Amino acid sequence: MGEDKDRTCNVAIAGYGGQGVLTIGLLIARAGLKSFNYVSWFPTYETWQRGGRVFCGVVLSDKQVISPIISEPEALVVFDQQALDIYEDSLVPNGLLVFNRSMVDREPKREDVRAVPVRATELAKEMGAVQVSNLVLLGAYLKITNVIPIDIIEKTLEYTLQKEKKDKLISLNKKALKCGYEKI
Amino acid sequence: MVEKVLISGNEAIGYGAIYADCTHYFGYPITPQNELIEFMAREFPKLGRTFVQAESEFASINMVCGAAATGVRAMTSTASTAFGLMQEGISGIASMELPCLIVNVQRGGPGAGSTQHSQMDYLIATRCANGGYKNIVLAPFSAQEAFELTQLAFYLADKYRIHVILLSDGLLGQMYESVELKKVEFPALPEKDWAMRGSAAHNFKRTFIHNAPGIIGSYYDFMKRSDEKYKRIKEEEGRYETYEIEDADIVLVSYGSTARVTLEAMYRARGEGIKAGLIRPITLWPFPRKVINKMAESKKKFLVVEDCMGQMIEDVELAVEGKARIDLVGSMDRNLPTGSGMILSKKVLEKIRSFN
Repeated sequence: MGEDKDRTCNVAIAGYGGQGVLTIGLLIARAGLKSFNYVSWFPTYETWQRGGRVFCGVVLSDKQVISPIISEPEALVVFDQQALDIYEDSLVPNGLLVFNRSMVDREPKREDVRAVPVRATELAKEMGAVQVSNLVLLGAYLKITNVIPIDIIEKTLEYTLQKEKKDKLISLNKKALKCGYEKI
Repeated sequence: MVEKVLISGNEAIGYGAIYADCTHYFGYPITPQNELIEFMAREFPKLGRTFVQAESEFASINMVCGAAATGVRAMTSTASTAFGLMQEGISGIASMELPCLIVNVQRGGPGAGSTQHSQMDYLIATRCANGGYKNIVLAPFSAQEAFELTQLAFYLADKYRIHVILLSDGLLGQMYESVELKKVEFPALPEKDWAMRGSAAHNFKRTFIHNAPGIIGSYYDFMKRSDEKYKRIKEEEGRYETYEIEDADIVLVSYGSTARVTLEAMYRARGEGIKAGLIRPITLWPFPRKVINKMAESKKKFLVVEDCMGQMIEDVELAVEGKARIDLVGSMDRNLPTGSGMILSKKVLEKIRSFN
């Protein structure tokens, strides 16, 4: 950290309500604050308790964030087929596409991006909880981009879950994160 | 060391209120400002300050009125449709010249509209309700600025004995940004000798605050005082920021969260060799008319970007005085024709290219 002081990167994450889309976005943002001067996290979601399209964008930068509202992301993490259908075209040329192989039935159309499939839902199920598939995807994204060191994400995850009084979920979440990180 | 936190634009207003020594908050929940009332419910009692969830927005604005009449720093927050509900109370506050803060985190309209963002309350915020009064309108474009302008709002309210509207929007309210929590320092303010603090505080002289300046006392005095006050505010309190304006051929005008998208589009246009610049009004009333009027002498094109069907554009038209072409990027330019659709920088860039 610190040698290159002009870094800016962004990631868009999309899926449906209940998949933990916003949660991992916030995790990246919170952890990002430890090594970047400026951070933004921007959510959109429909007015449903569960289900409905959910999207968030995170910008990490050494300079003030110009716009938190990302129209063409450098990296895109998609949780399901519909999210891929909606957002695939928005990715910048040579961008990164991490997608949940378990919930996407087709190959990505774009040939000018780096597409990385992750069997996130299946891997999460194997660990005993489909709810942690978001952390599997996050682990994969971190391994490829190296935007934030994984130990900082782990510490932020621990802190967040402790604050929410969900201590017993820490080890499972960390396991899922590691799983995504190592399976790539 | 200044504390740096990751908070929503709504919470940033809450922090701003705490740093400004606001002691009384009254409100009623409504999306998309719920993070703010939640923050207040959690933090104000811890600090020994007053938090009341009223039975309606009509009640909360009248509670603000009562609290402000005693001279304390009081505020409420709401969103569009309920901001409409508060208009009678706000007009009353104007008649009593009570300093206080009313936050409107705009959502879609008309009526209950949508639960998501918009910028459709520009005109009601700047043109006000019945009775011909005026109020200061501050429009932050980041969580950091929401924090700082909330503090400024209380200062200006006390300085001029006027209520201030902080006009935010659903996008800005719900996005999280890193914010440096630093108290803004202001010059000293006059004593509130008009405040109703019990007769003992006024040497047992009776004090009276009323809402009928045309019935009780001298209507002429009230109008003269108001007129002078408004003129002084117009002269001294206009605030704006400009970006790359000197050599610009095309001037973008945008406020609030939309200004962020517009700024990105402006830099992208510059990257393509198009000389675009941005003026961002921070006070919507008083509107930075003079600077736009002066620009209209040499700039031939103005592109207004706001998420509505064209409201601020009317102020730009007045300022430009027909000396330049003006076009709008509005709600019809959202990426999706839904409540959650929004104006993206890509669209603004397309408009800049075609307008150029």
